[in-house]
Amino acid sequence: MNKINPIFSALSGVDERHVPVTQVKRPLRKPIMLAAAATAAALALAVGIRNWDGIIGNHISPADTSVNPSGAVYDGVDRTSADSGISDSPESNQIVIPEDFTPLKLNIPDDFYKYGEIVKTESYEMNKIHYGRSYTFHYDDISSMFDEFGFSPLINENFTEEGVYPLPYIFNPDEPLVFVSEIIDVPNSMRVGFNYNLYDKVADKLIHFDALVLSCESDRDYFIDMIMNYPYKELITLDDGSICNISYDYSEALFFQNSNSVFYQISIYEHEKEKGSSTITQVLADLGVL
Amino acid sequence: MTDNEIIKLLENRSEKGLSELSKKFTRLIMKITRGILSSQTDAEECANDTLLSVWNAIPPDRPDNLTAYICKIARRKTINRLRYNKSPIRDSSLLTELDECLPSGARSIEEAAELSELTAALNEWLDTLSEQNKRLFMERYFNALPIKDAAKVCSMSLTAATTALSRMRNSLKNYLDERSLL
Repeated sequence: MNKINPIFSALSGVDERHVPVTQVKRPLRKPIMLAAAATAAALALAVGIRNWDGIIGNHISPADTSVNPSGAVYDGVDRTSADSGISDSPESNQIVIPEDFTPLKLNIPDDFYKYGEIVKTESYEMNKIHYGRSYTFHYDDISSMFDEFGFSPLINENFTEEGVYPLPYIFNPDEPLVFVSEIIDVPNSMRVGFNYNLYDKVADKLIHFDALVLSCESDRDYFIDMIMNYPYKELITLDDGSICNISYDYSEALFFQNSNSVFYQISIYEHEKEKGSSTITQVLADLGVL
Repeated sequence: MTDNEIIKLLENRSEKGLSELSKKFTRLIMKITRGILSSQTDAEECANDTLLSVWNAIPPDRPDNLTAYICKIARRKTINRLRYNKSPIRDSSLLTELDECLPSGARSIEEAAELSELTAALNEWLDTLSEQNKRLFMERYFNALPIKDAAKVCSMSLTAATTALSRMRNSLKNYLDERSLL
């Protein structure tokens, strides 16, 4: 039995007037994956209606209802044929956002975006969701950003390769794990190797993630490693009626938060969009995971 | 949603009340449970237990300060988990520091914990502290924040907070000694 100091125990009974009641302003001591690359709003919103509100994404895109039966997002555009996942104009899209959807609910303030460089010109806001933006972060910005918002960054500079934007690897075991990535226009092979390297770096920490959500079907070896090596508590697939078969040109990731305020990670890696026909469940079944 | 609105929903046994409760307070509850317990799973379970307890307790309870009410439940749940589940404490220094307030050969946990006088004395002693010191003490030993985080919350330097905590522990020891409580 643990020896519990009686004073420590007795403190539970003190008057409520003594209890600090300030709400928590910083993220939980849970690892967070933050990818500042283009994010998949279609997936985000579909996930959002599963009571995982609080999605943050810097790239909000519509999805084709043919692959998104939830209907949370719809524009009738076949996203698999879009070159970047970024819509060209607001008129071509109709984004249906659940009333209670609050994309900036993760205590990441609007100011967060000031550190992002808009690399696509099609940009506007809809229902407070930053739409059609792709953000690139740079080392100095990242440091400032996390200083400002309470994170303790450790920057790993090994990931600066030609053609790849700096990829800050930010980790402190006592702080929320924040990972910011941005990969643009790199060959598939580089991208895959890149991600492998990254996950090797954080492999022993990934067990802290509660779930891994996969949404694309290419690069199965990558998935095998991810799934087999890291004991995620939960594996969520996206074609359980909510969404499947998203295909984008960029590596993508997004935040979301479930009703228990636990952060999960979604990583979407689509390197070969031509293969975007099968679903993640098929992939996982093929792998023997499901 | 305001605390009163949540309480009204709970009183009406609306499940929305529970979801709003969870939405608003889980993070705070997890701060407490995760601050004390080393196991993330245990902390999450305690957080869930806390929410369930609140759901079961309101009504008939109608707390004036819902946040404090929930914090106290969360803390009790967490300590119960520590005690009964043999879950190691996340920060062993937390208790080591408070041990300074105890004389050697202090009575058993159960005996001491049953002393309502101890809680009453703590209430009185906390009243003697400045608001900043009280906040610091409670953030450290009630909410189980690391000293550096507690210092930050109280807008103090780490050194100042460490010193203040040490002085408060001495003060508490003397206070309890004078009343022959420990």
